[in-house]
Amino acid sequence: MQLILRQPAARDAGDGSTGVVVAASPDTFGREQWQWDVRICESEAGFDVAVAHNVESIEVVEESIDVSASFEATREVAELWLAVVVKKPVIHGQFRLEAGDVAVWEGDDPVRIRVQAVEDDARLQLVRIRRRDGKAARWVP
Amino acid sequence: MYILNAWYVAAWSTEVSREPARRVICEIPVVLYRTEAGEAVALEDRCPHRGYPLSPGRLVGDNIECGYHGFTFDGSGTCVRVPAQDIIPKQAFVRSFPLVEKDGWVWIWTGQKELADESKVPDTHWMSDPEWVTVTHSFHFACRAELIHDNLLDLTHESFIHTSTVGDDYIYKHGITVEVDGDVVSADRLMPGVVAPPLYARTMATEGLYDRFHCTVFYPPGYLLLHSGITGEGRPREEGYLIKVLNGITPIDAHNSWYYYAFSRNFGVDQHWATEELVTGLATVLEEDKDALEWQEIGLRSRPYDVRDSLIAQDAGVAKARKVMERLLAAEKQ
Repeated sequence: MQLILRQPAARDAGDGSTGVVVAASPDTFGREQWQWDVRICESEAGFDVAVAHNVESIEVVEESIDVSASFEATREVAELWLAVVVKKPVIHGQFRLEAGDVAVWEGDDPVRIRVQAVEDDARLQLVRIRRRDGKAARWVP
Repeated sequence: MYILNAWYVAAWSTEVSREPARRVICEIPVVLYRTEAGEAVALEDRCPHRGYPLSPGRLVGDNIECGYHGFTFDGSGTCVRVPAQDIIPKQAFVRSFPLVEKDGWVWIWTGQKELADESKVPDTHWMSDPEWVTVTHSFHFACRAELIHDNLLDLTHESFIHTSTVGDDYIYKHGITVEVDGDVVSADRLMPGVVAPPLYARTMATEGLYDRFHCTVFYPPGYLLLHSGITGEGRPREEGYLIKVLNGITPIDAHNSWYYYAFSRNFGVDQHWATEELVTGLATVLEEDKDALEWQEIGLRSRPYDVRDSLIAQDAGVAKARKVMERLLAAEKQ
């Protein structure tokens, strides 16, 4: 499953902290335990990204990616990936993602991720989320 | 609780005439009629005199006369006549509602008049475009409007409820892309290399495999546009047989909704037999939805308050739409 979250859809964290939550799990009205959330905050460089997560159950790897022409990678099905566009627009499939937009990928479709730059100096912050118990990380735990 | 600062479909244009018609929208009783010049009017359907509905009354020129004691109101809701006396009480007026009539639908603004922005009425041009042909239906669903939103944002139910018309197991086997852009939520599913759905296959004169797609776009709180169709394998969607399903979902109260439905297609436009087949087939689809959602409403009304839905990944559009609705409702309360 793929989620494209446009920056205007971001919401205040509601806890007095800086930045806005762009993606979180659980992101439902269910009874699930909080697992992780990703916030962005506008900065001179574009957007700063902050990830908070439940360290007992979730492992997070962050990577800053310079999309000088294109970026390609294959996601493991058990991983959930978030790509925050930090600077300059990029193209992913049929979507043009502007700075502050977020793409979330989970499950078995899509696993091959290809992002192309529209302009020079495009930058992504890739957040890879994995469950410590070996089960697949999902948008709904 | 309803989002009132919004445009809702109040009626088909053909339903608004010189015969007053009653609707209840977000628990607000409304009477609809036309002036002698053909302009649609919407007034609160409750005479300020003693609460009698105006809709059983009669039209006198461009005004409506209450059928109980003859209080008469013009199209702005101003009382212009009280038969039993010369003085018109100051409080004798009814609320009037902004209307926009477009492409066969009459839209009503149920909130603060000064916020009514006609440019926010959604695009429905397919209903009046000669390149497209449209089949319409309207239904009363005995369920809350949100269940119809959910139903359209998660089309995996087609695999189970609409097996003879638009359903197939391949639907739930394909993932979705959900996009959230401000208040607008869309859920898009591409199903490459599949057969055409039974209901359209004959009209489309198709054999073999195609790329099927459907993308539901939710314009909260009361309109969902479904872009659907099939195209050649690997070909752009625009080249294919295209369908636009326009869904005007108007709350009546917390457990009842009006469903205004229009199905526009750009293929077989002159094939009347196909249109006839679709009139029947789509009525079946809607009856199946109505049956399912009314059962769901029964299920929810007996469910303990603290029990929540157990959503799955395919519900991403549903969950996002609920969040947007929650946010809009909270904003209106402020």
